[in-house]
Formats: sequence, C-alpha cells, structure tokens
Amino acid sequence: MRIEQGQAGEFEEFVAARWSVLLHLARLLVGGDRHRAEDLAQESLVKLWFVWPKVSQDAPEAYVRKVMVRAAARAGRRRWWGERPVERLPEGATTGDVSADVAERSRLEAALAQLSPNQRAAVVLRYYQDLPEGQVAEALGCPVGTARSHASRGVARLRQILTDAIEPTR
Amino acid sequence: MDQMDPFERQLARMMRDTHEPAPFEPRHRARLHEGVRVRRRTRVVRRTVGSALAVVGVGIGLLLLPAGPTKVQPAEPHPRPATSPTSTGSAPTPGETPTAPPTSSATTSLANPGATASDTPTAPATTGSSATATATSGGNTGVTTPPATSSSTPSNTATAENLSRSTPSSITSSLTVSPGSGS
Repeated sequence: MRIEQGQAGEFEEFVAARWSVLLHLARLLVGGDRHRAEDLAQESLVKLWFVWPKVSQDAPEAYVRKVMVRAAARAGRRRWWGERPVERLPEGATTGDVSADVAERSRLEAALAQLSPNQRAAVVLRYYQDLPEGQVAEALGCPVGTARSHASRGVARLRQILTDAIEPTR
Repeated sequence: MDQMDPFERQLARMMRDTHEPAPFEPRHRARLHEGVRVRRRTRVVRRTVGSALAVVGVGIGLLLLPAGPTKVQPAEPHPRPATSPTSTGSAPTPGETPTAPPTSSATTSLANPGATASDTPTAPATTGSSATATATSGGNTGVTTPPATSSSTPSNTATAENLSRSTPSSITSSLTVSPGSGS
C-alpha cells in the first residue's frame, strides 16, 4: 500500500508526537532494556506505516500498542535476539546518573524483567496505560479471564519482589 | 481501577514517574525509513516468490494430470449414401411409371437432415414430384417414405420429359436450402 505525501507527513507528526510515550511503553514491556525497547518501537512503527491509511483516522496508537505487546510477548519467548558480543561497551554510565528517580526506575524495571512476558504486558497495560480489562485482553489476544489472571499474578509477583527489594528477608 | 490497594497505586505512579522524555531524533527517523524500505523490499520479494511458486505448482499440476490420447469422434453417425435403395425403390405405385428415379429428393433429404417442415421445398401437387416433398420430412433417417397419395391419379405420371420440365423448381429450392441448415 502506497502512502501519499500528506499521509506520510501525518505519520511523521504522529511518530514525533508519540515517540516518547511509545518508547517508555516499550521499555516497560521489555523489562528495561533500552536498546530492545527502541527496536520494539521501531518495528511497531514500521508495521504501522504499512497500515497507516487504514488506521490513521481511527486509533493508530492502539494499533501500535497491540503490535508492540504481541511483539514483546514473542520476543520474550525467544532465546536469542541477535545480540553479538563486542570488545567495548557502546556507551558507559555517566557520572551523576544515579539519582532517586533513576534508582526507582531501575528497581521497577528489574522487577518487571522477572515477570513472564504476558504478565508484564498485562500489568503495564493495566497500570501504566490505565486500560480496562477488556482492552488488555484484546491487546494480549486472550480471553478477559486470562488477562485478569496475568495481571493479578504479575502484581502479586511484583509486590513480592519490590517488598523484598525494600526489606530484604535476610 | 477504582479498588486499587496502596501498592497498586504506588506501582502505577512508579510506572508514570519513570517516564523520561525522549525526542524523536533524526537517527530514529532515518532508521524508521530504512526499516520501511527493508520491509517493503521483503514484501515484494515474498510476493514475487509466492507468485512464482504458484505458477510452478499449477504447471506441475497440469503436467501430472492424466493426459489420455486425444480422440476426435463425430458427434453423430455418418450420413448415409445419397441414394439409398429405399429411396430409389420406393414402392412405386401401380399407376406410376418408374422411368425417372427421384434421386433429387433423396439427395435433398440427406443433405439437409435437420431441416424442418418449413424448410422443405414443397412442390406443386400437379408436378408429379410429390415424392420430393414427402421424403424430406423424415429428418435424419434418410429414408424416403413412399408417397402415399402422389401418384394416385394417372395424370400425374412422372415421365422423364415431364420430370425434366416440372422438377427444376423443386430441385433448385432444395439445393438452396441445404447448405445453410446442414450440420
């Protein structure tokens, strides 16, 4: 499907406006890995490009969210993401990066990373995106009961992890 | 979301507060365009390969079909000879002099098997060639039915001279009709 010039401009505007939110959603969905989050956001936006004439008037963000959630679930089941070891790290942590916000984010992302992909997606959609259970189930592609189960188990696991992080048992 | 406990509320707050603004940089745009190009190319290749596979599959299927020898058979039996014994020796009536065989009528009927009654050239009753008119109504049979009433009167005796004078109209009409309606 070929996109006209005006539609391409609308697409660019949408991406520029929503990039930050989509990237943060992707980062929560993958459990904190910034590079994988960027890959996930890019991949989802590429898919959005090809259906842009159809979904641009309805709910493009919902479409991207659904693509992102399902891709994250697929990637979570994958054993290898095509990463290769390099001799030098591409970037190092900058001095002064450790602040309270960053520490909290790191703790949250580390906790999210311990959930299963479906539990993580259900928790993120439910508590970050404020979606009702029906829309969470639709995005996950499962029944409402299953989505509710994923969310409740994910929250229970997070409760345990974050409580342990704050108050270690030993 | 109304019945959230304190932990769930804190979890939602943490998820929102950890959002750090990230501008859409030119490198992101360039990577997005590159991804679109790659995906478009992949789709074209996939479509091309799929079409080629479909064509190959259809070709193989056609080759594997049981292909028997082609036989050309006529749809209908061959027409009988133009002058059948039944038509030439068609029950001459006692009063009729068999000097001129009605071959023209037999030819007409066989060459024009599908002709209807309306196509049949009708000869005047006084010409003595009523056998021509009755023979064509038989259709495919090719059998000339004997004239039932043609030669009942001695005045209609078909001599050679009489026939040569009287039949041209009927023969001409029958030959004119036959090519158009024959199979």
